[in-house]
Amino acid sequence: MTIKNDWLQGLREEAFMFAKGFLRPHAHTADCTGNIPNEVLAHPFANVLSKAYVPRRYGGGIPKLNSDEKVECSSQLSIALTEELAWGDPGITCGLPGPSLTFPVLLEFGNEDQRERYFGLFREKQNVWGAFAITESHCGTDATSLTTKATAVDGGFLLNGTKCFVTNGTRADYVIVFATVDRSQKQFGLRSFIVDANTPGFKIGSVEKMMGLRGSGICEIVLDDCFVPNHNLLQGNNNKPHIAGFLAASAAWHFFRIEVSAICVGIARAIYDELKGNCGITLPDLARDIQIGRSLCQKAAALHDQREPANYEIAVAKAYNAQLALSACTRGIEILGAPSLIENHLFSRLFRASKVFNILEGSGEIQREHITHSLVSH
Amino acid sequence: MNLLQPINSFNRQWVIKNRRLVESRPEILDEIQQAWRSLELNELFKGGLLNEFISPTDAIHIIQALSEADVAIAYYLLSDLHKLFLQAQLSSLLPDAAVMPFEHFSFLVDSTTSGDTIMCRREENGVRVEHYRSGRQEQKKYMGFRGIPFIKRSGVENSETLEVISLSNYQDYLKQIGLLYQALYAGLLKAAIHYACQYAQERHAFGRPIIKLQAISQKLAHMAIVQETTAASLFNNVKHIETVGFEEIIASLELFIKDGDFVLQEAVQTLGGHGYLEDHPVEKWMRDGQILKAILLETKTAIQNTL
Repeated sequence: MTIKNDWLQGLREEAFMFAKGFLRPHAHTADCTGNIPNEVLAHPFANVLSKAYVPRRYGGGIPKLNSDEKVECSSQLSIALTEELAWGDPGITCGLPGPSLTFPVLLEFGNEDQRERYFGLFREKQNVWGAFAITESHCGTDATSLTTKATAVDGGFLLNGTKCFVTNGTRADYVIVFATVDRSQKQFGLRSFIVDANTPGFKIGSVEKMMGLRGSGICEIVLDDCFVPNHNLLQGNNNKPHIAGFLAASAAWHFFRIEVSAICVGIARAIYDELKGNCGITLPDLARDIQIGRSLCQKAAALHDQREPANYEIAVAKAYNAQLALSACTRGIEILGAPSLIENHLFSRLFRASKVFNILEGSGEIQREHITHSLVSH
Repeated sequence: MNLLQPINSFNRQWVIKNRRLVESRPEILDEIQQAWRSLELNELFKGGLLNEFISPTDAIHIIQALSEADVAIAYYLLSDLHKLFLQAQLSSLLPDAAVMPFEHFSFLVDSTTSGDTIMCRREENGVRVEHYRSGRQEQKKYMGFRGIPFIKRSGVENSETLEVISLSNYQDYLKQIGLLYQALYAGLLKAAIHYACQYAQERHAFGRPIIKLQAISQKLAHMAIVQETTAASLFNNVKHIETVGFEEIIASLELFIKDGDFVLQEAVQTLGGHGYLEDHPVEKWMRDGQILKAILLETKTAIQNTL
């Protein structure tokens, strides 16, 4: 299944205008303050984006241009949007309101009540953020080693532990937290919970001081005897509750790795366009590489939408595009020289941001492990 | 190399302790500079890299060792050396001022209180060395070398020619400046590899130290090869400093420019998310590396312009 070009093109253009008119001009402010400026949040398109990932039956979807009809968001639509937004600013793109990584988890592993309650938030309020907390200081992709403990008590669970690198953690309304009921059971002990940000025992820890991507509100989350009722445990279809937590994490990563690849294409394109538009320098090889990166994203997204196995394609897209973004930034800086190294210059900001995409949601090394693993098992 | 002993102690006491602090509190640079000057090592650079006090190889080792602790602080402290290197080519004495080694040099460090500048300007009959007493000055903030007081000088008011030096003398000076910057970069690469290796031994994933994972160990090996080859290229040139040609210096600069990024970016990568945080110096070194690379590029262009 492919999406008709005219529909996609219209959506791309709308997102591009928003990125050009609002994200790019406010990128420096977000980089300095770590907050998304109100001018961006108040824009009607930001509101459209926050509901885009919510399924139509819960009041979400993407409105078709000049029509009341709404379209269900797919990976293919999502990467088109994300690429355009990242062209404006990758930091704000990651920090815009919406369910973010909680979307695939709620959709696949939430029951009807959980989906109605949490997807419903986006219908009822403006500027709602969902966040996803799995990483801990000592373990990232190796999720089976996490130490945040879920202790069963009467009517629910008590969560204890510290999560780090939680995107939008500073502004989240609810967070999907991963914890273990028994560390010795590795992936079979993993469980995922929906935790409201106002729950007693849920605290925002230190806001991470990072090289770039500062508008994304990445922070630590501290859980100190945080009580979560049973009805906030995500169990999937109940056939395999012991593995639901691990599968939920995988579902979120698959979804977001394609998004990250699209962000990287947007960054590389921003460099290309700036060099071409403002400096009159055309780099045909960079244009070629951007097109390759976009094709890899589209291939992975199409497979993901069809619910086909896409481990290999996703890993290839992420590994390639993360390198593409950083090398495009490095090249842009080499060409423009000293002026592009000034703190608030577009290239300097994109250079600092681009490095993180080869690290988060499974580092480049992990993607290469996946590629080799897929090649062997094919 | 007993000369490295005071450097190592200085690095531990001042530089490593304060390298992150400088970004938010640049005023501590004065304290660090006083401590550096009290070592009186600048004396060893009188007359440039070719003098009776120290061999060029030892001199480069000192610069590399200083940069290993922190390249931004090293760059700031070594602004003194510019004057010493230039003085080697001049008969007239220079007042205390910042040196702009060539026209259009972008990374001028304001290490003086007077705000004066010495600038080298290429002319048909040689190179004019001029002294600027004033002119418009503007503080610049780069993404790397944060906290180091960079200034942009413009305007030609109150300039005075100190001397016109021959092109060959100027080329000798540029050659030494090129080696100085390469030594800074070599130290930076060494520090990044050392830090990444140490972290890879301490950090566990999938039940073992990550250095045992093939993807990490292969990468660290590749980084080490790059660091060794760039350092070898630098020291080959230093060893034959009196006879080395400009082509060799340019080739060496190009090697650093081409390969240096890889080491600095992969050092951050090895630390994963932690590398991206300000808790570790590798993200700082990755930013600083971009500035230093631009300095190497400008030096390379300046040398090429004299040929």
